Amino acid sequence: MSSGRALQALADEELMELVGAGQSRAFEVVFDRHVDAAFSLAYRMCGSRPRAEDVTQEAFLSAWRSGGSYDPARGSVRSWLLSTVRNRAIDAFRVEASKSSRDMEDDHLAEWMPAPHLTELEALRRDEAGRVRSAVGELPAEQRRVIELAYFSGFTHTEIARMLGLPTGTVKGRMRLGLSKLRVTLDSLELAA
Amino acid sequence: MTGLGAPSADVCGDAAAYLLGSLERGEALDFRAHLSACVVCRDEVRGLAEVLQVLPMAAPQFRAPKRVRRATIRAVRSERQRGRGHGGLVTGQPPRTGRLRFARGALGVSAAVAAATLLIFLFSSGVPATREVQARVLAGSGQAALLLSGARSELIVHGLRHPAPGHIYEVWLERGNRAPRPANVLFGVPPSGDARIAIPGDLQGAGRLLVTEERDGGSPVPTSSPVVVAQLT
Repeated sequence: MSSGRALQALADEELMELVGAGQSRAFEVVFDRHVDAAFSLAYRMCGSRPRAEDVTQEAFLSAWRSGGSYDPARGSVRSWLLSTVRNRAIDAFRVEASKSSRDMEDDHLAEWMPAPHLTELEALRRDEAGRVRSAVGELPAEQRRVIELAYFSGFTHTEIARMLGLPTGTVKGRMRLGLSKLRVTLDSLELAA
Repeated sequence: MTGLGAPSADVCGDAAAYLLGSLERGEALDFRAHLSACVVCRDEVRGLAEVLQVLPMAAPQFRAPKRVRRATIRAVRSERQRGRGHGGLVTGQPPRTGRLRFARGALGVSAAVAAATLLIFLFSSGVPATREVQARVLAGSGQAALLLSGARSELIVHGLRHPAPGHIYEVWLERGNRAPRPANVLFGVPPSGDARIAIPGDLQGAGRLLVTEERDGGSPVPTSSPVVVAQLT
């Protein structure tokens, strides 16, 4: 078993190799690095603190159980974990919630939780998150709307088209324009992965 | 679009909707098939995928409550102690001991499993008898078998195709006429398609073991046709 300090020095991808071999201590390090981002995404999607906690826990447990399946060629550990959180949140919608409860705005959420002891890495991530959020906020409202409904609320393009009274082609076109603009903005901020 | 027929040109240009996960299932399958033939869409997916990597950060950032950590870590440690969970006992390496190895070529999986069973018998006196259950692989050309030894069960796959990007295999147990229940096992396979997957819990009373392809993180109910089926009774 590797010592805690040695594990802390490892990159996520190296830790996942240990997780794949069943090392729970390595999993704990990965958990601590990404749990805040995971919970934040779950909260944004679920709009309910208890449900976000459940989704976060389920997502990390499934990551532990399937740790050996992580493939670095398909993206970062963080992206893989957040993708799992998103899938779990959408499953939670389907099982428990009415779709209307998913269609929420940011201003229904609480302000940022106090975080007096941010590490340098956490501070950097918060700064990046702020810039990504600004970039999304600068999108034309109709493009931002369809992207948020699809990504954060888990609606299909046909559901979005029905909700907004638009042809599906228009919805898909707005998604494409919105993501393309985001790509340009994030490239200029050197934030795209 | 159904996803069952030939890929349709209608999906050309749907990269953004695909990456946002907002295509219907059949459309997503069509688009995935379309990607192999359309360099324009492939490039668009590659470019926009970078945006999707950081899009979750657009959510307001919070500190996760400490009880999430406590509950998760407690569950992981408990599973670790009981040797449960961690279905991802999958490596690109050969099996960890000499007890069980898949033979290549004509020998096939059943002979390898039989040999393994014999070795287990020879070298592990007192170990409960091992029963081998052949499983059917319904997608691709792989092979699979289930080894049952006392309270321990292990699914062994050989040459199983890799799940689609963003997907993983999930194991289910079917009892009687009831809907399949999750076995709490998710797994992937290395490029060889060979893997050994520990199945936690008691399979007593289970009629069938199923494996389906689900999105990363698994699903509470099967959402696709079984890829592997083992008849237990």
